[in-house]
Amino acid sequence: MMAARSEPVYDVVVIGSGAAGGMAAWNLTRQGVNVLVLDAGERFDRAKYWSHVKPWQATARHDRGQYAPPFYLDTKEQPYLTPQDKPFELIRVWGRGGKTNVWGRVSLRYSDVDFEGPAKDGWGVPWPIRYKDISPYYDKVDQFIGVCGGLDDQDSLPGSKYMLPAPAPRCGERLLQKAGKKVGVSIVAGRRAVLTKPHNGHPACHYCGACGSGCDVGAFFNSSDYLIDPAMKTGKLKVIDNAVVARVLVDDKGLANGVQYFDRKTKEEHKVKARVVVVGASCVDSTRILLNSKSTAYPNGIGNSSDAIGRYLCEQIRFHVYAFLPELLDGPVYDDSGIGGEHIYLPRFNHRDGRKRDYIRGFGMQFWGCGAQGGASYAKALPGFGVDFKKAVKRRYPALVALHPYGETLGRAENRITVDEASVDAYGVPHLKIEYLIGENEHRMAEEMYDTCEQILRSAKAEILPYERGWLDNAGSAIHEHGTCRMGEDPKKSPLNGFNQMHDVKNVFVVDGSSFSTASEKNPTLTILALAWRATDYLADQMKRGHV
Amino acid sequence: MKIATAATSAAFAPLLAEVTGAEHHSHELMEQPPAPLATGPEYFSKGDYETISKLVDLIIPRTDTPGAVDAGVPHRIDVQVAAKLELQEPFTKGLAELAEKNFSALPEPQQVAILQAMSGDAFFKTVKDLTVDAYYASEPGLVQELGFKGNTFRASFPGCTHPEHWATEEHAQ
Repeated sequence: MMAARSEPVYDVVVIGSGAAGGMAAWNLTRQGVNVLVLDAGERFDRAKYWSHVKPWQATARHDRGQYAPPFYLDTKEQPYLTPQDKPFELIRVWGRGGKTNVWGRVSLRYSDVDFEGPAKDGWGVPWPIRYKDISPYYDKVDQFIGVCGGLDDQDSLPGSKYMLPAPAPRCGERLLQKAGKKVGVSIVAGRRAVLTKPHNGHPACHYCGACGSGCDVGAFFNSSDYLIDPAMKTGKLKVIDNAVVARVLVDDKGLANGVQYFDRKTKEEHKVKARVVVVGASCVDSTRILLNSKSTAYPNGIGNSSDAIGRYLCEQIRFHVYAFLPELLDGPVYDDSGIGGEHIYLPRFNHRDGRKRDYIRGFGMQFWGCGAQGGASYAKALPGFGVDFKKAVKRRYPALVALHPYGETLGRAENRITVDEASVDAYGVPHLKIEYLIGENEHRMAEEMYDTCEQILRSAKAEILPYERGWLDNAGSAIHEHGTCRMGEDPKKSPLNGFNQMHDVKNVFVVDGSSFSTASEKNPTLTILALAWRATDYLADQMKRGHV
Repeated sequence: MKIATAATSAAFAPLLAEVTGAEHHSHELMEQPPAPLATGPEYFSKGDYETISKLVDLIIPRTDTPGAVDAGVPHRIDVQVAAKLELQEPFTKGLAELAEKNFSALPEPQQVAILQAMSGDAFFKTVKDLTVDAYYASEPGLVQELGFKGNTFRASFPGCTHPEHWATEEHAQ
């Protein structure tokens, strides 16, 4: 006879180990909370990254049938559905640390220009928090993960005294700052979670510029090294790898009491018990889990009495304009790798001049790809062939600048994620369906985004590489999904309160990008980290008081 | 500068993806020697391979630096067309049209004239794009021709040291 073995009941089960889940696990375990993290993949091995493989070496390796570590989830393994006429590029990383292993690292604080947007213009639900609520957490995040930047705050870009030194701008970036200044556009130092000096036991950046292949020394924030590892040292954390979560389970009182997951290798079903469930599997996958968590109490998904879960999906609009600066043509070629990505940023400014626009919200601008790059794709857009063509490519090589504006998209009820009961994955769990269209407001905003690019480049007397005005990057390609489980005061309109806690189910917290009331024009990760820290401080306090 | 096709920006936009690993930089580390160039084409006939070699040589010729043939571009195109079904029909058609004009046997000035005449064609654009991608990703193209110096270990990053490029003097250190 087998002795009945009681299954462990964790204080908190955290779904996901990226910025959101990693922060939740770290902040809870250090406060003595017993945490189980379910991660859909495994730890990536830094020693195997191709950060130090030059382009021609990569080609030779491909010829030998060798490939870089596969960070990105293959859609053959996990398909998602989109209508024919509404493509959406969904990029997912299943594995320890999630997308933070390869993220863009741009770390911009939201300001009250962002938090007050919906309350001012009436579109969407008002944010339940303001900058003063989150700024102490931004300060803590800056100090903990290390964010470099300048002491050049603007009303739309608050900062802190805790920033690491900003990297020196490249020649093209200096010239763009100068050109911007001439036309009243203030381009500041970029802000990125890259260590420009050693910080909290992590080494400094060595300026190889290969961040997109994963950092071999961990010199930019990734959740695996910066959050999960120290959480593990508390002895309070357990991580289960290859645990693909399907559903949050509920008891007969309508409270969450655990999670159902499937082993990615064996396909076996498992259930774990917990007093609290923290969902941080990234916006789209968290939404799928919540919508698939159907029960008598929650027939359309857990915590979804508002019918808002899955709706209001918003991303950002973007495009590139490339140009060549006359001062740099035929000039010397430098190593422009820097911290990988641009060293400057143009914060949102369209709220300042008082002029009425034919659109609401705003945009900022990044400059991804200024200076000598590890390739010369622009050559495809230069005319001709032969010796003159070869010269034309070479003389422009040191002179390339790239303007890369990001604009906010509005949350719309019809831009939504659903689950399709008729179409299931290898575990029998309904697939995601994404319906998303960029709207008129965004197309109108894009006009001013193009105007701004042209204005800066004309001021710089740049040669602009031909582009198609109005063209936008593919929906989804910013990899900044937000809004499908938004926070707000009104439980009829928002699934979450201002502490990322479900209005309907007080022991479920959703801490990733899905919780944002609006997307803004800014990269979300820094704000996800601050929100998740704040939410789990609140959760730990509620648990101590016996409220959750 | 006046140029280019209408589709330029769409085709060109992903030049530098934010997260999707566009940055293949690396350090001055030991690396296995590159695979030897194939002794012959895998996909193309010998004749077609020679035509492609001539095309890429006309697009990026050898000057005081290596050209596309020196950089192994014909081999790369052979590998790519073998792997990508969608490229095979355009190449079959494009090469057949050149064969009709007896392209390979013509003296170079006439070959150049043919290329100029077809420079608006999709096939030419395809060959040129593949040539650009392969040449400027190769060591001869990227390092010897363009002078690429990236992908290395540095203790510091100096950035721009030219005050004439700066907006204001207070930026000077």
